[in-house]
Amino acid sequence: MGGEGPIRGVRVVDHGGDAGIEACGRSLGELFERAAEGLTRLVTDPRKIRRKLAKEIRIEGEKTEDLLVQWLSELLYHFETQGLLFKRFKILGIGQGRLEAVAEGEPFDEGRHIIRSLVKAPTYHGLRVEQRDGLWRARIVFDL
Amino acid sequence: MARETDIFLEQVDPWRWRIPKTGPMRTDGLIFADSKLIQAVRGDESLRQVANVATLPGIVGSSLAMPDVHSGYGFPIGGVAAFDVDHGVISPGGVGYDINCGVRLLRSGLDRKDVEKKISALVDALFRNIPSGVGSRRKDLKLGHKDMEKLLRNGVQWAVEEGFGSAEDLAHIEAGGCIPGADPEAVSERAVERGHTQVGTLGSGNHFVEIGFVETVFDAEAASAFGLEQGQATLTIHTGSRGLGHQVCEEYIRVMAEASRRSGIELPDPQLCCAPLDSPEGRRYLAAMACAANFAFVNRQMITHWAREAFEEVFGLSSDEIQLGLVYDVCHNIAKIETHNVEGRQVRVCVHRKGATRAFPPGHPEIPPDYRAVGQPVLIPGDMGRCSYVLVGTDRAAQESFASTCHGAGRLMSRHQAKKAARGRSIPRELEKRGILVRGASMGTLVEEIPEAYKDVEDVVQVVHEAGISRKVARLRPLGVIKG
Repeated sequence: MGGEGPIRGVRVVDHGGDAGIEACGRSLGELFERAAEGLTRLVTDPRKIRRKLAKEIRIEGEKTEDLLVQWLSELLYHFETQGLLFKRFKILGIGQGRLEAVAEGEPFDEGRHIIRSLVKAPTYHGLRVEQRDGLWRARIVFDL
Repeated sequence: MARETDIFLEQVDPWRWRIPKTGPMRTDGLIFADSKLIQAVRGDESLRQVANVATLPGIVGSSLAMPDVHSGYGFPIGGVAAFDVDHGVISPGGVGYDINCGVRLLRSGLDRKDVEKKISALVDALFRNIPSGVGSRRKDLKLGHKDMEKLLRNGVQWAVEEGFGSAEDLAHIEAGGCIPGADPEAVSERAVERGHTQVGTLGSGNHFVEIGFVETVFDAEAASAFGLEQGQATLTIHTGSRGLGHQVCEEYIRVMAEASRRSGIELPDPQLCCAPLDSPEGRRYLAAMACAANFAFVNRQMITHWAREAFEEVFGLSSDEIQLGLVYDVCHNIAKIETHNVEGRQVRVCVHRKGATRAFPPGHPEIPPDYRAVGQPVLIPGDMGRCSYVLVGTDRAAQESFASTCHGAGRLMSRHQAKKAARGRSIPRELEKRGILVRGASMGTLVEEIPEAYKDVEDVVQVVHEAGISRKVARLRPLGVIKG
C-alpha cells in the first residue's frame, strides 16, 4: 500500500487501480473538512486554487458514512457541472443526519490548474467513520 | 489493503482456479487465469471480492473472474455473476459507476499507409472535434429536456433520427443501442443535469479514441465476416455514461443500502448492497440503469459521427470513400436479463458484467445476421502503447461463463505508482518513438495510463483463448491516440 505521507490530517492512499484517502480530525466537522481537502488533492494542486467565491452546502443523510459520501459527492457535482474547485472548507454544523458547510474556491482555469485525476465518485467500499484515541478517523475509496 | 492470505485457491487446469465454497459463500468462485496472472491477483483484494459476490442471494453458477481481474469496490473489476430473476438480486455496485462503459470498433476503406501519412493532422482533427477533458463540450450541440428524455428512452435510435448515424450503425451495437425497459422517470433531475452537457464527450481516465490498423489476422473466416483485413486502418472508441451514470449508481446505492437492510440481506461489504430483482427498488434501478446505458451508447455514437467528420476533413474525401463502418459496440459495465443453459435447464438470469464483455456463440439470435454464423465480435482494448484484440464469442463461453469474457488488459499499478514510474519521463515522446502519436487533454491523467501500468493484454487474451471462452480473430496496433 503506497501513500503520499500525512498532510494536515489527510493522506492519499492507493487502492488497486483506484485511490482513497485516510483523514482524521479532532471533531467530526474537522474530519469532514480534512476529507474534502484530500479529495481536492486527488483532483488538483490545491495551492493553485484562489478563494474567489463561497458555496453554501447542505446535505441530509441517515448515517455518518452516508453524510461523508454525500458531502464529497456534492463537491464533485459542483466541479462537474460548474467547474468549481475548492480549497477551504468550513463545517458549520453536523449532526442529526444533517450537514451545513461552506466551501471556498474558484472555477477551473485551464491555464492555471492542473488535473491530477478525475474522480468519478466516492464509494462505500470498506468505508468507516470512527472515533479512536480522541480522534475521528475515516477511510474512503474513490472510483477514478 | 490486506493481502489475500486467507483465501484458499485450487488449480483446476492451466487456465482455471477455483475458490471452493466455504462459510457464507453460496457457490464456488472460478477465476480464469494462468499461473502468471494469478500471482498478480493474489496480492490484491480480487479473490476476497470474488468470494464476497458468491454470498449474494440467488446467485446461479459460480462467481466468476476474468484474467484481467483486479481489485474493485464491492465487486472485483473483471467479475461476472448471474442471479436468478425470480429469487436473485440486482446490485448497482455490480455494474459500477460508469454504467455501460464500453468499446466500439470501426473499420475503414483506408489502409495503414494512408493514415500514417496524415496521422498528425488526424489526431489534431479528432482532438478538435471530440470534446475531452474538464468541462469540454460541443457548443453546436444544444439539447432540450425533450431530447434528453428521448435519448435516455430510445438510445442510439434517437441519434440516428437526429442525423448522427445510420440504420447500419444501429444494427451493429449490442442490444441495438437501446437497453429495453429504460424509464427516464427513474433518473433524478440531478443525474440528467450532469449528463446534459456531456453528450458526446470523451471524459478522462482510461477513455480514449484510437486510430490503429489490423496487424495480424488469426481467424480469416471471422475477420472476413467482421469486414476486417490485414493492413486496414481502424478506429476504436472507449467511453461510458459520464456523470449521468455516476449519479445514477450513487443514488441507487443509497436506495439499495436501505433495501438490503429491510430484506435482511447480509453484506460482507456495504458496496455490494442490492435488492431482489423482483422488487420495486430492483425494477426501478434496472429502468434507470437502462437509461444510463442508452446515454453511453449515444455518447459513443456522437463521438463516432464527429470522428467520421474529422476523417472526411483531413482526407478531403466523402464518407462513402472513407467507409468508417461500425464493426460492433460492446458494453463492459452492465447487468442484462438473459437466458442461459445451466445444468441442462434454460434459466432466466440477470448477468452482472463488471469489467467483462458479453461473448455470444455462433447462431445466437441477438447477434447481427451478418455475423451470426461466426459469433459475436468481442473488442478488447489494450494499453495505449501495445495492442488491442478482436475476439469472437464461443459455445464454451455460453456453457461456462454466462457468455462472458475479459474486457481489457487490467490495471497492474495504481495510478499513484504509475505517476511515480513516469516521473521525469516524456510519455508522449516515448510513445512517438514506438510510432504512436498521443494527445491528451491533461498530462496528469495521461501519465496514469503508461503502458507498464497495465497487464500485457497478450497474456490476458491468451488465457481466454486457451480456456476457450472466446477466440482470437485479429490484433490491432495503435498509430494515434487522443485521451481525455
